[in-house]
Amino acid sequence: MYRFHNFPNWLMIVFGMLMVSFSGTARAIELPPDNFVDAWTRSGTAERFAAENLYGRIDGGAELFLEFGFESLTCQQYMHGGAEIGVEVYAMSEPDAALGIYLAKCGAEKPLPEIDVRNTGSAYQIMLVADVYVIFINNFTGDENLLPVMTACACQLIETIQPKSHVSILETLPTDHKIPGREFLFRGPFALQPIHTFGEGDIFLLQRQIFGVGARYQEANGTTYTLLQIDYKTPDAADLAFRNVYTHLDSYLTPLDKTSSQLIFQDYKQKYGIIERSENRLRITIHLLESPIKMQ
Amino acid sequence: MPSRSYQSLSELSSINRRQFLKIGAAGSAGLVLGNPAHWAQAQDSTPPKTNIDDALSVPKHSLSVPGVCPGKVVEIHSPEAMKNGQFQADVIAEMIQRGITNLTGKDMKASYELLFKPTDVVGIKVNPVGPGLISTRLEVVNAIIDWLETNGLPRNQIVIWDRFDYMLTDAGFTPERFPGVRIEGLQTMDEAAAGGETDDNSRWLTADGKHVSEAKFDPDVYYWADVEAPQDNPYLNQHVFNGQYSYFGKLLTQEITKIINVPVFKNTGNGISMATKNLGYGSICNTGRLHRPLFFNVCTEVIAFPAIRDKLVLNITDGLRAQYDGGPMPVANFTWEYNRLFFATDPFALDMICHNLIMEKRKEMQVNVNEHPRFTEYLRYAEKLELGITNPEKIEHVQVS
Repeated sequence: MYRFHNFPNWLMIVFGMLMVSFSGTARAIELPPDNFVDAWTRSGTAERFAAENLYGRIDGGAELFLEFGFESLTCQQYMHGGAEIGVEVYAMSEPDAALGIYLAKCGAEKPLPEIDVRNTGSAYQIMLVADVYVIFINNFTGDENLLPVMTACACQLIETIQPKSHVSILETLPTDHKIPGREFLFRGPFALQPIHTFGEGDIFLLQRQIFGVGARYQEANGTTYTLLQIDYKTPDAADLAFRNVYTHLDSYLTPLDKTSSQLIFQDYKQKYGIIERSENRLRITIHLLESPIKMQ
Repeated sequence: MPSRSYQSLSELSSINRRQFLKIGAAGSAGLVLGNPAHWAQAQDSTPPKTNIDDALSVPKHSLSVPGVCPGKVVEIHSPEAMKNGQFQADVIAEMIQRGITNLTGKDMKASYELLFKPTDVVGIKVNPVGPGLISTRLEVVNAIIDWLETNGLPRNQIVIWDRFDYMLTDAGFTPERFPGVRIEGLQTMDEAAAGGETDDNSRWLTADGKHVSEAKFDPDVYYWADVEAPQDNPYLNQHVFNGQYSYFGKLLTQEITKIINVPVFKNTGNGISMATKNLGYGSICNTGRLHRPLFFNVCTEVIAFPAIRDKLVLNITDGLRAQYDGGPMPVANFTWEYNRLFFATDPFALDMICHNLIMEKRKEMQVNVNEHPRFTEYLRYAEKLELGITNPEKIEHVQVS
């Protein structure tokens, strides 16, 4: 039987490099080495998961990652004395996909100022997004003393990500009255689940290819609503999606008015929604207190 | 239709549930039975046929769900339950006492006598997912055992149970921690094989191709659904069987005579994973196939079977530490010290109250909330089956601080 010590040293070095360095698409990231801070060392070798075995790692959570565009997951534990932290690096297909995952999972953000990319963190977990990567640094004990170690680990990881792409997808949203931190992205039905139910399956025909963006808004009088926006490649594609929504509209949504480019409905909470098609864009406003018919 | 007929409780009995997970990936990830993402979405528009009529054809008795206090939910809040990062056993024991007495309107002895008899074998169904973080607190189980024992039930007539044996151990439900009390998982599972870490199936698969836990399930008591299961080893490892039958465990059908259900307060997607899911998906095997086509309805229909319906006498939802997002897997960032316990004999009224409470918390924490009726349809379905009261206006919600 083969054992590691049967391999020549140079092969072990190459193997080790492969285990700690990888690329999501084109950009490389390196996991922190032993002693990245004090005497913290790796515990075991890094585990890597491709799309086909992601269910083995996060069955039940894999769909969202796959929907946004998943490339690989690398996991590494670090130990010092009896303490342990875990690093999980999700490489996504593109920066927008990474941001989509981050926004879906971050909750109300509490950024750590030492980390110079978008992040949220506590002694239990730091979560950050940089370029195509979404990174989790976990401490299941919640021991506050480990937060500096987790932060140092995060900073080391970020340093190796060069260059960091500017993500502009959220900039297409109107900025007036937008509630900070309440943006989201979607690329299929799984990411839409917590937002609203418009119908079964891929109701907006996104096919894991097209990104939708959205956010919560609050008017000066305190009323809130949610805006979603999808830019298709062509007006015909937008029209097809619009007709698909109308044809397969969720049975709990009551259509109130429809034209060739607009659908107004009332939902199960007696709130209103409007779907508008203009050129290649679908603009969807939901959770409205007043009927858009009255407003027009 | 099933080829075998349902047999009543007197002839048989059954087992339990669990979603299992390994704390891990994505701050929310882990290995979970079935597929909660599908769960969190929706059932098929035309649900497949099931053998629910078999369950409904068996007459109920006076303690059958919704039990002696239909539509009543008692919420006990004690800010002192957690002190200096530690849950306080004495405070929790006092919360248990206040909860039970407020629920039944009787003292602890009379409450015991209302729900149990000396010959009962009482199964305490816990939720050990997320050990130490969001699993059923050991202090809560301790207080329940003390109540039973004080009133004359021998410890060897008490069983702490869940679907997976190793998860009980991970969560601290061990013979050392609970001496004299039986600790029983309905099945085992090889984690390494399930996680794809090994191709060696010998630890869970016998030479003749059967799961080692097969004999622990009752072939005569089952939930049948016209849904096929995946025919692969990873599924079989997790689910023991992969046909159209989800058998109840023999522990439930043949040994336990009363159930105290002790779930934890947490979400699963846009819904909740509390009292009814703890039993609905925890009392049978072969559940992975059911998530997508039947969604939450499994929680209602499984509880309708006499193996559960006629034995479940008390539900205590552990909301000492609760989780408002990321569930059913434990995610520390979304947990908070809620310091509450909820009591009911009616699991459906209990879940309706807790569903509404967790939605409020999600809004407060600025988590997106989808309040589509599909996420509570299973509770209204239970009311149609006369298993509980779920109209919030008809539920008596008693809050005690």
